[in-house]
Amino acid sequence: MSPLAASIVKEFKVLSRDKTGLFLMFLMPLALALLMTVLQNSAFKIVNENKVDLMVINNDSSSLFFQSFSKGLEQTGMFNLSFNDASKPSFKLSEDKESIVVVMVPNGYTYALDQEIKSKAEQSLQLFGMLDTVSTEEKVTLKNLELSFDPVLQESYRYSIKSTILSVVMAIQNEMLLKQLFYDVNQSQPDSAALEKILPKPLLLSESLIKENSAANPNATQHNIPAWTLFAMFFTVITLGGNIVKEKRSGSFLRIKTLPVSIAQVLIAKQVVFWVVTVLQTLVLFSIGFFLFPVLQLPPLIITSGILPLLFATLFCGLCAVSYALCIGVYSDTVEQANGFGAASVVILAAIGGIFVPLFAMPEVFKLIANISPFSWAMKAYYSAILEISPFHILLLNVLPLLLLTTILQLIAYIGLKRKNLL
Amino acid sequence: MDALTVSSLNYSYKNTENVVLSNLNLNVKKGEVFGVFGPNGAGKTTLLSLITGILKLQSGTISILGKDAFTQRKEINQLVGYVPQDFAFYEELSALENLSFFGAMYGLKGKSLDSRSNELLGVFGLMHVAERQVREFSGGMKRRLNIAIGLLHEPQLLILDEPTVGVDVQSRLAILSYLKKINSEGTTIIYTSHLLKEAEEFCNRIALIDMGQVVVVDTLANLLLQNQCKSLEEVFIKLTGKSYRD
Repeated sequence: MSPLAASIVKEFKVLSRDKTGLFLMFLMPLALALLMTVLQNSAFKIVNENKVDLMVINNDSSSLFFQSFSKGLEQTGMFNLSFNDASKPSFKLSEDKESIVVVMVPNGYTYALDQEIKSKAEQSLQLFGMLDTVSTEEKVTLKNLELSFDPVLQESYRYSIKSTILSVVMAIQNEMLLKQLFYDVNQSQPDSAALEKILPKPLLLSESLIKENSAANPNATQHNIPAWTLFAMFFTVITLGGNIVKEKRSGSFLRIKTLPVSIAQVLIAKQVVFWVVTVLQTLVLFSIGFFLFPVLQLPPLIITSGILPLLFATLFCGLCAVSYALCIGVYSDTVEQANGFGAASVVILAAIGGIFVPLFAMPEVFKLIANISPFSWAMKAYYSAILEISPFHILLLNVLPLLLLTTILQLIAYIGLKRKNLL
Repeated sequence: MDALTVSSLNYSYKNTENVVLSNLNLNVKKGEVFGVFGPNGAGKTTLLSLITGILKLQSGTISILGKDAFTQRKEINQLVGYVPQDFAFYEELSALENLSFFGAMYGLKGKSLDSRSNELLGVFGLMHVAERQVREFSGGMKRRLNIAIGLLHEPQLLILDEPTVGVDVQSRLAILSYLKKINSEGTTIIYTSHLLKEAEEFCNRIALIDMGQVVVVDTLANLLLQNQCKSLEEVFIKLTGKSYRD
């Protein structure tokens, strides 16, 4: 076996017996990825996916408007509806713990609306020249629908709910008006075929993304799987950094200096092994995103670009993480120093770089600060591999900062090894 | 040809004005067991570090087995075995795995590596624990493994830095017995220790170093005669004094 191969085998054996190191490199990030995805997914759902709990209270003696209104609200798909009858003696609004929006249909609403529509129909027919006189009966005042909101609802969210409710009411009004006009002209109610012809079809909007071939912001899984993979990669600083310090202190580095091989071979072997570890970490974490998360009702991991760009990003991120650990190991005098500084720096850089909270959800100032963290560069590289079908030169541009940092870290480590008389 | 020739060697560490070695000259003949002794801070470890290539030469020359230590380090490292005072191996690996790794570093392969590893495990009484992780070993077992690693490639020159420190009598006797055997077969040994009684029975020639310079080099018999002492310890105190040096 060549010295390099023997060094690689030795490193694998040493690593495979380091149970704490393996836990830190594989199980911890796996648990974090799972936990953070569950948490972020819940938060994400509240804003984007969950329906609003809305109660409709019918205080009207007629149920005609109430039925049309309820049907219209249901068709929007925005609400979890519940109904209550305010006339029942058991009813108490304050006891309702679920609903965050309550709509009260006031008494006499159906009648008043019906009168309003009849009047509008007559006026319209008169304007069209189809009716000479309009009824002079005194109009019944149409009361407002009463809307109550939970105070936790934000203004923009309230506005969106109000707009939806108003659009349902307007649709009911339009349908009633057209039916009334049909009746006034034909003296009969329109059948369903006629109704279908005179009612306008609901307008639909076509949605598309501004950036071609891009999948907008990542979902909780698409963020957390690469994020915690990166965290795991850089957290090898604990294992690799500590490993280098231990070798320096035990004298095995110095012994290797007296052997007919270069110590660089041993260091290269260490980096190769930990580089492979970073690829394995990616494999493990991305596998749980693919296979385990859907089983746990979490969003599945969808990789838009395919495996090759992902592998490309992984190799560069892994190399950068290993170089960082090498640097920490070379410059630390004790294992405690390497572990303390290594862990603290990785957590801080991860926080700045958008691992815990996605960059797109950060305030603008933090987005600017994030640019100093290699985690943010690495996340860009991963996003470009996961969310977009990027051409190769775009992928290369995304990993370029990592490649530059890797080169700088390797140079710094080389200088440190020279200064410490290890090379 | 001498096994080792050191000429006009000077050395000082960076950021200190203290000269650790000053115009040091030494030669070790082939087949000798050569003892290097001196008080703490005398410069023994620095001298060994320069000979083994751990430290880089600043001035002076070192020739090992006819090769220049500055320009032919790789060839020298193939011929020299170094046993440091620290346990310089991997505690996570077994004794056999350590021997396999360091053997591969010396360029040993396949059956020759396996048979040499097994031979040394047998010689140093480690065969029954060959597959066990070294972290479970006693101090004596670790010390024996440390020496076995330095002997893997059957070096022509063996440099031992306090090889028997902290071991029991049985281990010490086994170690010295094997070292005497390989010396009788032609291996030159350079040895440092603070155990002067051990040195009396083990070394052919002795060098006393103090304050970075060679105080005296001679056989034990001549040293005792010239200094009218009964033991090496008396010679040591007489020539280097009783005051602390570190």
